[in-house]
Amino acid sequence: MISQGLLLSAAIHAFLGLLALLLGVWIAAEVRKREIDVDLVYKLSIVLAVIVWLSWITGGWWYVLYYPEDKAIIKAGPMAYAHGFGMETKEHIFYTGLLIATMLPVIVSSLKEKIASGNAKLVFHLALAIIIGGIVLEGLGGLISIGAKAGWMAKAAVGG
Amino acid sequence: MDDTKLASSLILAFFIASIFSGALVIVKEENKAVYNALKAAFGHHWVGHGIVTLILFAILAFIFNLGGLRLSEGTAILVLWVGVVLNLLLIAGYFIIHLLS
Repeated sequence: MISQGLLLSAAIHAFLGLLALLLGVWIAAEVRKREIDVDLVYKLSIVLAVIVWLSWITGGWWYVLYYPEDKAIIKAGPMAYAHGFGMETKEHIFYTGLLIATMLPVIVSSLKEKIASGNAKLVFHLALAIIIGGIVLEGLGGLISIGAKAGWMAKAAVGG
Repeated sequence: MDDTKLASSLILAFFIASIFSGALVIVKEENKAVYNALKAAFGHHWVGHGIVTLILFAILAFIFNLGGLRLSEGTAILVLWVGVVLNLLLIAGYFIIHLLS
């Protein structure tokens, strides 16, 4: 029996991932302005880092404790690659995003004068990496969900 | 005053940590002793993978920051993206090859 709390934790993980992606877009847009509000960019980068860490904790908790049941269903179903490629890749490339999100506020803080003078290319590229990574992770998350759904449907079809 | 040394240290530490993370995926999948060691130490291999990568990143950033290396902005951006792409190629490439074999 799957609890509402369990489903909620998976939903919170996906929501936090989307929120991090949107914050990446906001930061990228802020540093492209003619006059950059460095304090705002710094605050946004801190929020982004906290959200990505929370996403790791909520997603990790679900993945370690509850994913094995879905994993077995996906691997036995018609879309086994949703685990073999989708989840295996997603769970590991996530750490690249975690590293970038962690160093982003420190880099913004260490380059405040440069950013205030309008030169924020490095921050823009860090935010761009978060955006692209976020899109890839959301896509892989969708693949895993469809793989699980297909697996459970296949199991139900044979009366399992 | 800006601290470009710290920013450079973080980017270099990220570069090495991201390649390490990609390589660790292959090593632990191919060598069950490494996989089991991470699992035994951290309760789950994936949790151990993340903690070891983060610790390596922090240590490298600290060590690099003790030195005087400063990257130009263009070089820092290049190092960032090469790290990202190599990490992705190592991880996704490994699992694609693993699935096809």
